[in-house]
Amino acid sequence: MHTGRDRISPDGEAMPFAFEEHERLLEEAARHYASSVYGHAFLRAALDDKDGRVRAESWSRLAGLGWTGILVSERLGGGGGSVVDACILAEALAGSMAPVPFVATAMGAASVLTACDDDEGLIALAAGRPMCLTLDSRLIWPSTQPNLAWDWLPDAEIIQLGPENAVRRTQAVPTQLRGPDPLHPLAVIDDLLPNDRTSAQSEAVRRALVVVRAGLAASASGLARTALAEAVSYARVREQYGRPIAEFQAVQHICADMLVDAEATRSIAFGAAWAAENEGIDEAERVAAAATAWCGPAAIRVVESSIQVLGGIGVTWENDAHLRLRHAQLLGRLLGGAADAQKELGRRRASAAEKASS
Amino acid sequence: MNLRDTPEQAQFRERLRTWLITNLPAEPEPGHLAERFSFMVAWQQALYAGGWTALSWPKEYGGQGLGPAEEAIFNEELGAAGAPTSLPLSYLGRVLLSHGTEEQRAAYLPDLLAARVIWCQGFSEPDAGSDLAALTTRATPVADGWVLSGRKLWTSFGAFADMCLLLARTSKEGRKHEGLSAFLMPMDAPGVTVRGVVMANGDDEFAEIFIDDVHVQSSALLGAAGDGWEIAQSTISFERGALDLGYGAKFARMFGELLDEVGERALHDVSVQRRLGEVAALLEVLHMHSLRRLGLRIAEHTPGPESSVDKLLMTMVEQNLLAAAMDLCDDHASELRTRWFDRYVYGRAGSIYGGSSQIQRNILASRVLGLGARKVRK
Repeated sequence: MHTGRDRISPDGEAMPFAFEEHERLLEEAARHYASSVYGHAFLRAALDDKDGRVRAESWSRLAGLGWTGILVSERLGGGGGSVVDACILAEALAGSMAPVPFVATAMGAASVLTACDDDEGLIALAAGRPMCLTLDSRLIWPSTQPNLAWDWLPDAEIIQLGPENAVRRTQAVPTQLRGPDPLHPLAVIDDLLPNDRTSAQSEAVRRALVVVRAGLAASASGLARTALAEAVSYARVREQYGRPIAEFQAVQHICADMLVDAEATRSIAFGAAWAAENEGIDEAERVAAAATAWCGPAAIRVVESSIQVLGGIGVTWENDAHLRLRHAQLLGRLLGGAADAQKELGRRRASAAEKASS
Repeated sequence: MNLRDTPEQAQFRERLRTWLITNLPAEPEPGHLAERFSFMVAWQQALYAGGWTALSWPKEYGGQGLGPAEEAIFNEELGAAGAPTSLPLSYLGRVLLSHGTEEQRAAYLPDLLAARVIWCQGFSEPDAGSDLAALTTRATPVADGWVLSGRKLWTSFGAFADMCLLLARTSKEGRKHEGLSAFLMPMDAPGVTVRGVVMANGDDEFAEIFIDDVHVQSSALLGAAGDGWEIAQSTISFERGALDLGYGAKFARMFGELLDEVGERALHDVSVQRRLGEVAALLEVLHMHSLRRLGLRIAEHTPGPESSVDKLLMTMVEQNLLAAAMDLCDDHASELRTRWFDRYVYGRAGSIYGGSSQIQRNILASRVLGLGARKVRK
């Protein structure tokens, strides 16, 4: 089902998706919730909140809505949703710059725990228990020696892959970093055991990584969508030379390019979300890598362009545009970012071509 | 959300693949223009005989009564198989189907579908490219019809076509869009002269048409006088329509050739892998975007001005792929580089034809994003 709009709506959608009715309703509800809760004042409170209490409370409220357990099966108190459902939430949350660890926890930790059959962990996660995945300092996962918790919340449990793809949950006392994105902080943990990379990753663990990549792509789509909407509404009212800057072709073409980037990001993000659950693992990994290769750079381009349209006001601390840029930069670097994904895709295609010809 | 073929669609795809195995021409498209044209007509006739034309048209007009999904599968499979380029018949036929009278449909559609009569499109002029509505070819009413006069440019296979869907000005009153009308002009009418235009890569399928006091019957008018702009718009949207998956598949096939030609280096050289991976990701993005657009067509969402997103994306992917070939096929002694170079040069046309990239951005800005307050909004 679709809504058949052919003009951009106030929340910045030019092109709908052929979603099922329940997916469209979820999207509407998620966007409504995110945009009404995470306004400018809320984001400022979260920025000033040194011990992370604002973010922790926000996370509990999402648990109350059943969002933290969206990927946890109903048998364990979760929502039993699809990866597409989770990406709809991720997109809406990132669109409003919600300072919550949705992708890291509700998608990442949930899929790792599911891959390792940790029912007890999943029950806690669905009930709102904060949990963090660990990365190395280049933000790569899984890695031999992790030392960063991604999207830290107070009292979070640390999730690590142990030998034979067993999961290890530990409590740690990390040092929060200033980092690029204060709404999605990284924290240093010194005393972690090395992750196990000696045994091959099980298909379930590979799929967990695909789910995280889809969630990051959907978040990039949310950022791009609202950055565009912000630029467009500002260009309509900001006047220079006696008329709105929206009338200048130089500004119009920046916005048109943002729209192409934003819509393409949305297409591949949800393509990856769908493939994560409906395609074989190799195909799902290929689409997810393509999503990682495209979405981070595209979201960064759109957010940078949005700041260009906003002009001087866009580079002030008071304006929220830099928060969007910070989040886009973080998303764009996680799991090796576009550069690693491009190399991976090139390697895959080259060895597939080699196999086909020999 | 579902991106998979339904069982019926999968069956259709399988039937098409089987047909292609025995019917796809083994020899490549000839380089010489006249031979290439006969080759393409023969291919069109084979498709017709196999029941693969007019897939989504109603059965009473010779169509197969199928939907946009089958049309997209058809384009995708042909693109992936490296099938010959199609003559501009099915989308021009679509225009006759939607704007023609019963008499016009009966007179033209059967021969068009069977490729017994070849059609071309006469829209652009030397001084009316992006600003199509500024065209000056005139149609003057006379007792038993119209007299046409002017000059057209960028007409594919103009030298071989039997009929032309022609855009001409019937009135200078009102806004310039409002005085246009569409005509069905026989190319063998006295006063029609065609001259070939050779493109930068040596390709010579385009032509210029000189129209000097050409007399046509009243029945040559398509729609009403003044409908020309609307007919032109729908022609352009039919032209693009379901083709997007076909382009994606064609680009993916070209990428496969590039991979083969880069060969060993792709296995060891990380910078080569990264450049290839960049293109592979773009192809995936275009594919998913096309599937999303197809999902909307199946849900009967009428394509609007947002389809300019599709054209800009498609052009970017094609030009990036061809630029990658320039980066990676760096053996200047090789015939391969010359072949890719020709493709690369011709690829520059992608951001010019069918509405230049600047026109597409204007459309998005004014009609999708609502920028430019003085413009009349839809």
